[in-house]
Amino acid sequence: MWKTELGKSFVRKEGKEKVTGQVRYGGDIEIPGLLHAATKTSPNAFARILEIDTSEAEQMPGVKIVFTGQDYDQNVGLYLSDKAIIARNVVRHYGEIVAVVVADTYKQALNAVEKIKVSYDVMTPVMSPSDALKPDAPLLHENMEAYSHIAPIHPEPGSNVANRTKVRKGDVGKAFSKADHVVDVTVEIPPGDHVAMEPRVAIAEIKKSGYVHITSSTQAPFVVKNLMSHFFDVDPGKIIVDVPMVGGGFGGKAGLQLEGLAYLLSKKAGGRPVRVVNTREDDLLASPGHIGLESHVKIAADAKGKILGMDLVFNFNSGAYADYAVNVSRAAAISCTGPYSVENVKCDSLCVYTNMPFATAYRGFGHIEMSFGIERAMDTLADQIGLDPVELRKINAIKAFDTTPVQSVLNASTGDIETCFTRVSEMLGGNLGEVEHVDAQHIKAKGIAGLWKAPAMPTNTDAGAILTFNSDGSCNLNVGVVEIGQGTKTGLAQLVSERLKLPMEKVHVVMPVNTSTSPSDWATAASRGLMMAGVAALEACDDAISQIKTIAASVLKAPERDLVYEAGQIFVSDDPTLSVSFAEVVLGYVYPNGNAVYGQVIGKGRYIAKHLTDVDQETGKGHPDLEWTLGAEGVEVLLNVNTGRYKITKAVCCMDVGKVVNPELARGQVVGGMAMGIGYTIMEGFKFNTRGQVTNGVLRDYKIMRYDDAPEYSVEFLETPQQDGPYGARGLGEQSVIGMPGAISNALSRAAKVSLNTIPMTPELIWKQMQKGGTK
Amino acid sequence: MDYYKAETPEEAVGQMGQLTDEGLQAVYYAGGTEIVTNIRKGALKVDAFIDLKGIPEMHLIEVKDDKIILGANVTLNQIIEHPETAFLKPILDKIADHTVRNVLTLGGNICGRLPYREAVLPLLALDADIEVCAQEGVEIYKLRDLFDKRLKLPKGTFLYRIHLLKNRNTLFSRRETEHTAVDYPILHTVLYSDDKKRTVFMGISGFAAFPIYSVVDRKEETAEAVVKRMLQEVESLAKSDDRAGADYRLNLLQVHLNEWLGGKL
Repeated sequence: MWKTELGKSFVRKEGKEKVTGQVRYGGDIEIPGLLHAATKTSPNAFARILEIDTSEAEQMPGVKIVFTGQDYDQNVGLYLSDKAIIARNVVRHYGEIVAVVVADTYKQALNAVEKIKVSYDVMTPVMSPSDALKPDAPLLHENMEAYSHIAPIHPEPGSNVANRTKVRKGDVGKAFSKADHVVDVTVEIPPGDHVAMEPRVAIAEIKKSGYVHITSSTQAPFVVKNLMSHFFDVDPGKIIVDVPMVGGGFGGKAGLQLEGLAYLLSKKAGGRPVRVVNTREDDLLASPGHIGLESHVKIAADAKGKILGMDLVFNFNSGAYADYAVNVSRAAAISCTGPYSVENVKCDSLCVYTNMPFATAYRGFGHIEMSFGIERAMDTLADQIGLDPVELRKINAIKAFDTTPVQSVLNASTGDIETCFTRVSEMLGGNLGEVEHVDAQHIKAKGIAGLWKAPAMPTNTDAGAILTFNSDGSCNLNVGVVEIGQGTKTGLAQLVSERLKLPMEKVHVVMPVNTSTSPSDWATAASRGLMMAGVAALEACDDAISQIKTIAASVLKAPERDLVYEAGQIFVSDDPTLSVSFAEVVLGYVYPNGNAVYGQVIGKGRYIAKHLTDVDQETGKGHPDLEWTLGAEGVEVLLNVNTGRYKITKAVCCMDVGKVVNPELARGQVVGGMAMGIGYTIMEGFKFNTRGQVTNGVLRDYKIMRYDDAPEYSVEFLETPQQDGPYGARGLGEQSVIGMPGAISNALSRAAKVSLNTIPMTPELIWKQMQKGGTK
Repeated sequence: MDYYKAETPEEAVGQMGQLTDEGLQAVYYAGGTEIVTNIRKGALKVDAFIDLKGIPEMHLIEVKDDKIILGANVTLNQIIEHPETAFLKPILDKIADHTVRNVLTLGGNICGRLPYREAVLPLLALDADIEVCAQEGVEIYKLRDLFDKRLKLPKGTFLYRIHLLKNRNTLFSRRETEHTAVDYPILHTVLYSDDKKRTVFMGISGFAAFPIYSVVDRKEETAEAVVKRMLQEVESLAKSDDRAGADYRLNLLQVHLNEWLGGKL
């Protein structure tokens, strides 16, 4: 009997290659004749470019071309075409690329870059969303009305607003007028970076036949293909995007990034292969990072703590360009209340331009930012009412058949967040509202936060799977999901193994993605890989089994309905002595006399999101949310009241993921997300001087979390099945990042007896707040 | 850029003299952790390096009776892992991270351009002597005589070896960073009470734009009075930068001194 191996922790398929250094990333690839690019970046945050003198650089040894913004007069952009390929006429953030040298060697390119002279007319930078929204604020994009954009986003030309998404549900004015309690909380998050281990890289080569070969560290090869075709007028079939493994993405490698630049450099260099690989500094500043936010959260509640309404303003800080940020602001609006059932909601979620490094997607996609303000406000409300913070959240927890802020109805697959809250509280030892005085200097406190997230994606988001077979009866799964360290391909292999009843070692997965041979797949983003490519993979398995049965039926001379299969054999169910192996049929059956029939089995599977719509521009009403992952998180902190220094001692998470396919990989994703959320909350973010220059644009100064900052992690899963997911599974990749700012700030605010509403929560900030005295 | 690898101290100073005479700018090179990263950033441009790593005795930790001699090329990790110098571990193992400390040398940390030079704190506390190589030969100085904000070596010379007496009393140290531990200090405090001389040493790094130290004669003063005096002496030097404000640095120093008062003296 086949015994299910779903829920078994297989090691990841590519793991040994990764840990022994055998994996080749984009930066490792050698091509004869490969040219190398180096960049010149802007020291100014906002300036007109008066002149770029490239004459000396062009004469330097090995230099093939020098490229400036004048070389390409069109704009590009993911959702809003607001960006020149590199700065043209104006720079809008510190570290923006103003010129690129391509030379035979990287060193030659670097030497030539030093000879480029740029003169600027420096302007006063706009350094916060609130400044950018002032009526007399300088416009970053004076020509906004000329930019093309996708329908679901709503730019406001004549202002610095790249998108405004509105949510209007119920009657918020009425809710606030009859409230017993109202809280009003403002939180702030600076922009920062993903700091993926692998800096971004793209190689482009234009063949004489017109084919454009791109090798890229992208999470979204099909987006790259489609956008390049759109912006550079190349037939989509002539653009081949090849993605080896990617060393971490976290949203930062979705969209169109260095590929367009590499293509234009290759074009100017006569089609020769050109590699653009970011230095760490360019990866931090020239390429997009994570978004900032100023968020204003007002909650109205009755005497018992039932939330009556929320009035929300999210001013997202997109930096100089919109990239994914417009959709981040939209996604935050769609789930603006956090995982709470609220009848009356008003939200204006804006994507605002500033002269800071620009933002793209980041793990959580607007939810980590949105959640910080909501969860701080929830704790503030609990304090005001005198309710236990866990109780308040349970009273308001959203559940199946409630409506979301955009009035879409949650279906029966909705996870059980109430139990998540209970478990997180228990994992932390209960009594979340209380603090413990450990000694004269130290206070121990706990904090909790709820989380929810649905993928923010096009209504027609797709995935596909192709299953081919080998002579030993083993199979090869080919999907368009990129391996970015998340381990999805191992999870997908487990789904295939389960459906074909074939041991894991007989399921092979194609690791690289190539847009000319892999089936279409929207992007490896939004925690959708396992669910969507998983459904497609199962359909491909069913398709292959049906073909295998057809062949076996004729070999075994039995109707297909009487056939069963297991471990690579097909049996006649009522006479198991009659059988034929997968190996004998998957490449066509060969009779003893040599005659062959049927040919190879090729399984195909497809997925496309169903029933999705956009949201209404005035009310937000719609159904953009495919599936929701819900959960709760909490931390325990130990604070030194004399210095403000603290240690996060415990971090716990309980999440309803539908079905745990691979417990260790799932735990790894969740713990990784928690760690990222901790770093984001306690130490990350760009720092700026008064001229708008980033002063921590190197890893010496831009600090990310280290192992010795790590708490003890505990993770639990609930399994309320996702009815349209593969074996009930749903997305879990990003979600655990979301609750950490709320949980940490709530714990620290309780310990310090002040309101801590600013990220990063440095010890100095806490100490200063404590000096000023509590507002809590 | 030219590279020279010296095998004797004489060769190194000789080379430096020759390059300087030719009008070239040369620097001594040891672990390279600062030089390499600064060159990559474009922040350091010189004509030549004179690598001191070929001088064998500069890599040694020698222990004779109650004396310890540390070659300037000894890495921080070598000192941390050596049983006779392990008393320096609580201070040195907070500098950089383990991988960097594998190459970061004691001499480089003290003579580098970065304004922290934390490794000098315990050496100042213990009143170390230093051997300096000059064209005329090796000369011995009191470290405290040459160290003022930075090690003021005569032109063209380099730090060769450091002499310490084996430590009897415990060095008190506390180190604070903006947040995560592997970072430059916003305050690294080293306090040392010399019972024989009846003096108290305080050395701090990260607090001002350079390391500061003071040696206070305890006389008949109370410990509290000594601490108060030391604090007053440095108060106006507290800096504000990206990592922390002056008032926070002062608070931390106060906390460190209070902890020390609570524990000893």
